[in-house]
Amino acid sequence: MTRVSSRVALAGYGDHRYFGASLFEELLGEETVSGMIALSVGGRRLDADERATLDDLAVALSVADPRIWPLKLTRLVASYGGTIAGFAAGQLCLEGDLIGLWPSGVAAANLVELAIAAASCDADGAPPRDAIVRWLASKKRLVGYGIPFRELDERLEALRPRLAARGRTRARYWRLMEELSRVVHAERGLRPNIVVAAAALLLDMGFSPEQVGAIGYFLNVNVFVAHAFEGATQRAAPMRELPAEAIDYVGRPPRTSPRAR
Amino acid sequence: MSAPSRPGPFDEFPWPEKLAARVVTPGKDPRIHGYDVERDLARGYRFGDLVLLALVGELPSDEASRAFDVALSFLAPTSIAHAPVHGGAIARICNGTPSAIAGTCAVGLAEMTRSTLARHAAWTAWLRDRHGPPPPDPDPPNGASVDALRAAILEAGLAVPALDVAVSRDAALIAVLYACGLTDDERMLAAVVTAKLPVAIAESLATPAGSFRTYPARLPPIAYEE
Repeated sequence: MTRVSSRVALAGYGDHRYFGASLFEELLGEETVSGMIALSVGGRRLDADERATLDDLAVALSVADPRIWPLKLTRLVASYGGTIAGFAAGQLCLEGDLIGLWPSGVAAANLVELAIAAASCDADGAPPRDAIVRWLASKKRLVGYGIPFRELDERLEALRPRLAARGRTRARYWRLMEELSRVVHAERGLRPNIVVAAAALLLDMGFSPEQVGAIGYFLNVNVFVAHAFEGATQRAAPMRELPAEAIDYVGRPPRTSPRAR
Repeated sequence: MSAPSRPGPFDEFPWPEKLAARVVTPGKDPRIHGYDVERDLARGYRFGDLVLLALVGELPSDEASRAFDVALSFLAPTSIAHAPVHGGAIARICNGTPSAIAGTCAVGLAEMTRSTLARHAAWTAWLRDRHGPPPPDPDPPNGASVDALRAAILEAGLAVPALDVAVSRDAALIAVLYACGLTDDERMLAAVVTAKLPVAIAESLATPAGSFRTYPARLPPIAYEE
């Protein structure tokens, strides 16, 4: 039988290994939750400023109105009293490219692709903006752009000065994202949202596009825990079943089968 | 002190007031795609017919009904060697709730089926347009099982010409489901999970709760690498 390898952990006696470190001697008392998330996905330990940056991102991401679709889903399932069942159900719809922070991995892959395209154009002497316009023309839908129901993504607007104060808006992918955003707005009238901003930020911290999606996702888990816990505690009857007057049946009209008696 | 809360997009956007139902009529006397479940379908049809009706929108022919039942039976067994059931058994060992066990099996089976259908995407596309020769089967041949399926479908009376060229068991079953009217991956996945779920849950429930010491923790072997 083929052996499966794992870089994650090994259970020992008295102490345990976690991504190459002693759990109790090296990580306990030193690491934070955001640091453990980054270590768990990226396999490396962050410095204090990087951890604080992830903390800023996690706080900015905590828009948690219970009417936001995946959070509503979480509460619907949790309404029977199971916190973890509600939480688990709420996660499943996130593994797409439409909602939540998982799509930041797709946005990150796009930025990496764009960086390569723009770099090659630079070598040819063309200005980066032209390269961005050409690259954009090849993308029908661009993950991380478009803000429903409002003009700007307030999460990005709130986060930007915090990141600037940390010097992170001068980094390569952040600047590329800002330039891309200007082009996308001019060409398609769309503004950037927090998904592409998180992608740029995490790429600049050295994470791969695959790791970006996973870290972005984990940094937003708290909002699901909140709704799973409150929903399971409330066990609200209207979440379990809507009244008949709230449903509009639009399917086939009544009919009789050939075997009806 | 922060500013008091103000209305946001969820308060001000003109959302619809009602949730649309498209398959099942809500309330008493439920109907599926228009057919009365309790007075009509329950008396004249098998569960497989109801599943096909729900997924396709129409009641199946007698031949498709029998063929679909054959396919459901062929699809039903998934042993504990496979991740969805293995996972369900671990959920049981961890003393998970029945819904946790059912949920684990359902998600695992859906993922397994998604992977199977993705592996056979060229085959499904060929079933759709029948253009050129059939694509190579990504799975190994399983002649005895495919022969048994051919014989059962022949008895059911449904014409499934693609069965003549199907090589693997999965490809043959996809061909039967397609001939029953399940022509897209989403509905095919729903049918496969429906077929497999009861057996997967049964195997999981047969595992003793809390049986940590009798579970082979080193299977398969996993090596930690720093």
